[in-house]
Amino acid sequence: MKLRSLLFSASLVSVAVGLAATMVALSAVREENRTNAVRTQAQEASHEITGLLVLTQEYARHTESRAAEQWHQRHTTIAKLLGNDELILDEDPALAELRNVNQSLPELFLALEKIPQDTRPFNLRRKEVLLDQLLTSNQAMSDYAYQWFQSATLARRAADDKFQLAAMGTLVTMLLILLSLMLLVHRRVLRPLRRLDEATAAVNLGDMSMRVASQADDELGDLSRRFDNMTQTLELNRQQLQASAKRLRLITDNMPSLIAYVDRDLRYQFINAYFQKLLGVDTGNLVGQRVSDVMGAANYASLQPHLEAALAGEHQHFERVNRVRGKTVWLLTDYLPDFNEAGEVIGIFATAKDITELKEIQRAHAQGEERLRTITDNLPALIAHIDTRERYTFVNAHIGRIFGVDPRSLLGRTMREVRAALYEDLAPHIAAVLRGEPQSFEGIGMAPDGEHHYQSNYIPDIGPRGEVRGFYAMIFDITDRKRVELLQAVSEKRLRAITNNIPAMVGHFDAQERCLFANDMVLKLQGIDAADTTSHTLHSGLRDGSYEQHVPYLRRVLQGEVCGFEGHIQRNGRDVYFQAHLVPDWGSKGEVQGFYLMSFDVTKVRRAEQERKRSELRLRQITDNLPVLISYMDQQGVVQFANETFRTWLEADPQAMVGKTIRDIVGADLYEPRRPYLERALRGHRVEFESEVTALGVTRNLTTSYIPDVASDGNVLGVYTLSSDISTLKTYERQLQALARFDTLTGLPNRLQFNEKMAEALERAERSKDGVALMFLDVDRFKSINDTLGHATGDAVLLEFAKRLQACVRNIDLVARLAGDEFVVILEGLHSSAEAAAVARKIVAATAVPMDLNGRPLMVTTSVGVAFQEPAAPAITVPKLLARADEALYDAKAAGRNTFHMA
Amino acid sequence: MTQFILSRFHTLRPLLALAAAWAFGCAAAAPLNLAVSSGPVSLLVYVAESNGYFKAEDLTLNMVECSSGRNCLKLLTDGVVDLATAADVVVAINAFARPDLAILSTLSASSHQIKLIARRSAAIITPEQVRGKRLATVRGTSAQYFLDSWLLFHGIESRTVSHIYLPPDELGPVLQLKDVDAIAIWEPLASQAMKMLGDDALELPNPRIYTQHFNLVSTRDIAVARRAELLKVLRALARAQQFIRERPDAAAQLLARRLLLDAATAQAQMKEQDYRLRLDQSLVSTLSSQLRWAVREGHAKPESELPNPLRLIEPALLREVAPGAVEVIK
Repeated sequence: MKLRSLLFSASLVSVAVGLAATMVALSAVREENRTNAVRTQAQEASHEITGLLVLTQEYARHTESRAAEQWHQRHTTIAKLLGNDELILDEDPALAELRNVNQSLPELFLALEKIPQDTRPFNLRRKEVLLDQLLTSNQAMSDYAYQWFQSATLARRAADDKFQLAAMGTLVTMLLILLSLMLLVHRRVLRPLRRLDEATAAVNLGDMSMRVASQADDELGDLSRRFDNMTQTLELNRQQLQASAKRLRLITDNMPSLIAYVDRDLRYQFINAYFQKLLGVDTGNLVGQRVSDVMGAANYASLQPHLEAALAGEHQHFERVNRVRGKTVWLLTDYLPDFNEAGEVIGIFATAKDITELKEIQRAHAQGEERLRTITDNLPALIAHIDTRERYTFVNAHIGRIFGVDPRSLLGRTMREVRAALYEDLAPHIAAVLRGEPQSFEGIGMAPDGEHHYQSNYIPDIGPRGEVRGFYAMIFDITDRKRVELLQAVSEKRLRAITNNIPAMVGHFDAQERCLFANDMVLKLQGIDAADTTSHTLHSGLRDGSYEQHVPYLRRVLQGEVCGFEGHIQRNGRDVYFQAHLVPDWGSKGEVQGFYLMSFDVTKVRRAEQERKRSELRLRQITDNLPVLISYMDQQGVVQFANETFRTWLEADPQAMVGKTIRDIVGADLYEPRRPYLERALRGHRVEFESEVTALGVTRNLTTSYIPDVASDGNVLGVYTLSSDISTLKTYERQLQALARFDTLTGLPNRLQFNEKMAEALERAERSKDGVALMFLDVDRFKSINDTLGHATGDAVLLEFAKRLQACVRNIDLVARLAGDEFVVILEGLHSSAEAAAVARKIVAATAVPMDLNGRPLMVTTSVGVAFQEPAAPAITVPKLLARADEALYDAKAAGRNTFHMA
Repeated sequence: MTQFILSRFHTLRPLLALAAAWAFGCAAAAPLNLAVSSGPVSLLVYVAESNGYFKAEDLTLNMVECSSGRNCLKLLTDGVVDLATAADVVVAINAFARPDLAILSTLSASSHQIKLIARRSAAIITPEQVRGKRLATVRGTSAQYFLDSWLLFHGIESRTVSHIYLPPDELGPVLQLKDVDAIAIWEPLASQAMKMLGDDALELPNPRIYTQHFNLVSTRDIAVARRAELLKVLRALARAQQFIRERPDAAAQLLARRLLLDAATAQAQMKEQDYRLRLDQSLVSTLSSQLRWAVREGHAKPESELPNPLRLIEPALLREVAPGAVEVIK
């Protein structure tokens, strides 16, 4: 870790520890102050509560308004003391309770004040109770105030502890930090500094081998390593300088250029070995000689202005010709002035390169280029060379002719400038060819006479090292060819697209019925290969055997008539229907030179039509034989269909009904009652109702359904009506009702059976001289059970009651339900009324056991009236005996219910 | 009302079980028998049992549940159990016959857990409208004491209403069947009755006329003889108090499971209680009022001498477990 970071971290930790300690201490002090405040408040409250207790007792003794007034004042003071939310320490339950009790006090005290000051026992008792409660509440407040004080004391003690802990903790932490810092400075700063000091002293005395060699990863370590590097580098530099001077001489001597240095007096100070090779002079004697002496007067004259300019501080770069031993030598020369620190020229660096050979090549190249231009200028194509920066470096004369400009004016301009708007289309090709990929593409360009199509070829210009130096552009004008091609392709494509997308077979034939064209559908259906199209005739092409059916129409179409027909064939064993259209193909001279044939498959349409007819017939046969009136009317109520049953039942002609409104058919009297149903059905609802109709002397009970005919868009298109005869069912229902002898809810005998059995029982009693008892019972407050707990519960109660009744009597006794909660029991073969009374008591007790209704207990009771016909008593009628039992029931009710009464 | 008096067997059954436990227990290391009154008042006991605090104290405890504190205390006075939970008023009523009863600690205090529930269909909307109506409650319990105080506070003479006394479980059903017009009953039976009545139920306002202290009660002899075990019981209950304070939601869930309540009702009933082991001076004044009331209401003979309420409180054990919780000056 860096020393800077270490020292920074140490300071940061110290500051943080200091801050944290201060914060903890501050918070502890604040907490202590707060808890002290709360303690004081609790003490004050305690004091006030004691006062309130005294005042309550005083008021109780003397009932003075002064005491009451003081009580209220003191209560207000306490309420204020407790109202401060800052008093709450961690949701103290004691304070919360204290507040609650205090809040409830005025209500009690006001009630106490309102009690009249008399000696009525009730008032005295009220006073006592209220006073008791006031004193108890007061006591509770004292308790809570004390608890509150206790929790505040505990909180203060905790705050004290926290403060002491923070203070001690801070002191110890700071001491530790200081100790660590001292150790750190000694180890990481003072010791390395001493070593560095020793090393610098040694280097100062010339000992370059001295190294500190520190391993420390800090600033002083870095400094030591830099010191070591510097001493090492210094040593190396000294050795390199000596080697470098030796190498420089060797290099300049072997360079194929003249290299020299002349001083201000134009005397040679340095010269390389190449002088001897090129100029044939002895380099060993040249140092110190003047340039003019060495070069000779003629050569020097051409050099003098450049030498003077270089001495004046200008860089000279020029070509010159030297005559050496009768030969011409081209030299590319550079004079570089050598400035001293004051900016004065103190000499000249001179270099000269032999370029005689280059000059020869340039001359030959110029001749070749002239020949090439002559050729390209006479080619019927646009030829150009473009360099890597997309500038025209060569254009032939044809370009000038096409664009109407002087071709030379294009040289040096970029393609972007010249091709302007068209450049963006060419850019990808240019980029590609400059990557070395040859390009060939067609394009459009503007010439003075309008739009032209061009075939462009870009060929990369590859240099000897494989680098792309530019590209050649060869552009041919293909405008005329393009125009013809385009016209043909468009026409052909459009035609083929249309015919291939028609769901029909389309063909074009000449007068000899030879196929000129057939669309995809023909090829697919007749199994012909596309390439063989023109080798077929209509006869050979129609492989499905339909040719014979076409023959009569072929004659007509070739006579110039447009004609068509529907035909029928068997394909793959299935019936196929088609519709053929033949149109003549008129030649330019008005003669029929062939015909077009279009053939559509109409099998599906035909089949659907046949199916619909068959299904209609089937439906009518079914509906006509159903014993149901079936009709269909549209939105306006106009009948669209009616079955034969209308004729059988109502003597109405179903054919004559179609087209008339239902109102016209049945008349206003019958229509009006049905109108609301019909309107409801037309709004999309299914409607059912029953009615009675008399026709042909027969009255029928009909049940009618109106079923809306709803379209997929939700609109109601019309209504189906179905009326079935339910007369027989109705008759049975009535008979069954008349015959029923059992109650449907409880399964007990009903009133009808009771009447029979009672009469029989009385007859038997008369014969056998036995007693017979009739009990009349009902469920107490059954109506309120029904009203409050619902009819389902009411039914459950009746069922359970019936079950218990049966359990209380013998098998030979009869239990019956007359209506609602009214039940009767017939007991035969009795000897005394006590027997009947015993059964009645048993029934009352059995009923009072709570009933379990879906897991909910319900208490139900019953009242029983008992009429007893003594053995050998004079005969009595059923109604009279029933009346006596009813009266007894009334008495049982009057006696408070849940009991029985003997008549 | 005879049809509502249910079989007495459900009271006898736990008694028999305890008798058996007692008989066997004598032979082995005698377990401590505790009768707990069913309701949110007993949450401290439920928590201590469910969280295994009793077991952690190495305590063998037999627990029996009763439908009221009155029944629990009867088991104590009959010598069937060693400890019972009961309201202050039940201790006061029994103190005449058993002056040796000893309240060891208050388990919970509440001013609102007893409720007066009326039927709207009986035309009761304001307190004054209870005049002339049939009011049912449980005789000899805090509910009766509450109803009496409530009537006095509102200036309603007792003779102007019909009093009907029934076992606690039967109050809700008779109110539902409209055989009575209002009932005074504690939780959770009060909430159950409100639920049974639905929209017809109305809770009449309670002016904090009575703060009920629900207590852990034993006898003086047992407090001496089984002191070590009773200290363990109190320590386990103190742990339960800590648990309720720190994890009220978990405690409410436990209460809901124990009393078959829905979560919201359990939370509401918990809020009405102050679950702190205490022995406050206000308990003395409450007991004092209740002793006088007991004589007046005929729970004790008119000539009886009033027991000293301070004698009914035994603070030494709680003082040892939680010194700060005892405020009674004794």
